[in-house]
Amino acid sequence: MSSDEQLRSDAERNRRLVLEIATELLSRDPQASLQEIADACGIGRTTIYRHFPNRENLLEAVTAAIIDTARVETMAAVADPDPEIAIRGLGAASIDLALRYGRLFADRDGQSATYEAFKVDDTSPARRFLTTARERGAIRADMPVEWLRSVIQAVTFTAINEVDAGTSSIEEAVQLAGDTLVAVLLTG
Amino acid sequence: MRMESDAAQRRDAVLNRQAVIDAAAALLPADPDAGMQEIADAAAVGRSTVYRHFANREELFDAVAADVIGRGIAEVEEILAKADGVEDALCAIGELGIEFGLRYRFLYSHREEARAAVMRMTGDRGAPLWDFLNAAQERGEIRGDQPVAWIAKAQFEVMTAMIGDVLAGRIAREDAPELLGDTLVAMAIPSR
Repeated sequence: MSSDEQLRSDAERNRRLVLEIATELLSRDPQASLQEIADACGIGRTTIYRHFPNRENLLEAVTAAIIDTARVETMAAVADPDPEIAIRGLGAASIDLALRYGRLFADRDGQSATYEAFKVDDTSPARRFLTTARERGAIRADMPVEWLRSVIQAVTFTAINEVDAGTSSIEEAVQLAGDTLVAVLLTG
Repeated sequence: MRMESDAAQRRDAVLNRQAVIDAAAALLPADPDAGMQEIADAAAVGRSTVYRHFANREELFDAVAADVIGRGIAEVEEILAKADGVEDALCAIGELGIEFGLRYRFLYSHREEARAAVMRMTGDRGAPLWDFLNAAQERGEIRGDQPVAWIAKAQFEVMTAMIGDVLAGRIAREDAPELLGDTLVAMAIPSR
């Protein structure tokens, strides 16, 4: 490996490290400073600035990374051909994702262009699953997919509130949400 | 007027305060930026009277929110008293929720208080919606495998989502009541 290649691969590794640590820190504490992120990475703050010129830049990259994760996990969750299992999987995945990353988006309502774009994304795995399941008659056909997505979000939100309030454990909340979603999406 | 009794003065003050709240609740849906002077004019009181009751716009909005929530609760209680079965009640509550949510959207920043009020209404024995749903559950009219509080909370969030979807233009206003009613019913009565 030439020294140029060595430098590039070091830079790439650093960038990935910063992104990974920043995602973890910021989803726990959206106010975490760049200094704290640098400390957790064991690198200098200037190294972070080399990859992400400002905080907004880093936040956008973190948002994009979370959306990639959400895509992959949602896709895996709805892979089962049995619609009930897929619906329960979708509910469980969105609760899990919201518990892990929800805090990051909670006070940033409408501020992240990337996140906004994702919410209306026609190719998101949840929407694709609902659209195709509806076409093959596996879920109710008398409600628009758009609305079914809203219902999933609302039920997810209820479940998270239950967990946050200590009314339900995560397992109980996932069960309740799954039962409710199956009732809405499969009947009709 | 020293002749006027303290009681009468207090009564006037209460009436004035309510007049200001009523005027604000009537004026702000169409014009959320209406000023304190306009609200005073609509209430047929002086600006200083408005400020005697509400130090600022925010205090007035808080009072309007409390008033609207109180009216919403009263209407829900009326629906529950008159409803012909659970399905009927849920559809009527859904329709009321959409109407209130759209008309009073200038109170969007108070949605946490609305949520808290619904929680009080559904949270426990003695709360109107809880009693209604619980009795229906005991009669086997709604699903028995979930706590009533969960069903009611999830229904409230779904209703809030519908208001958001209508405001964002994702769902047509005229489609909303039936779509929401069907959803609320499916949540409570899975296999109809």
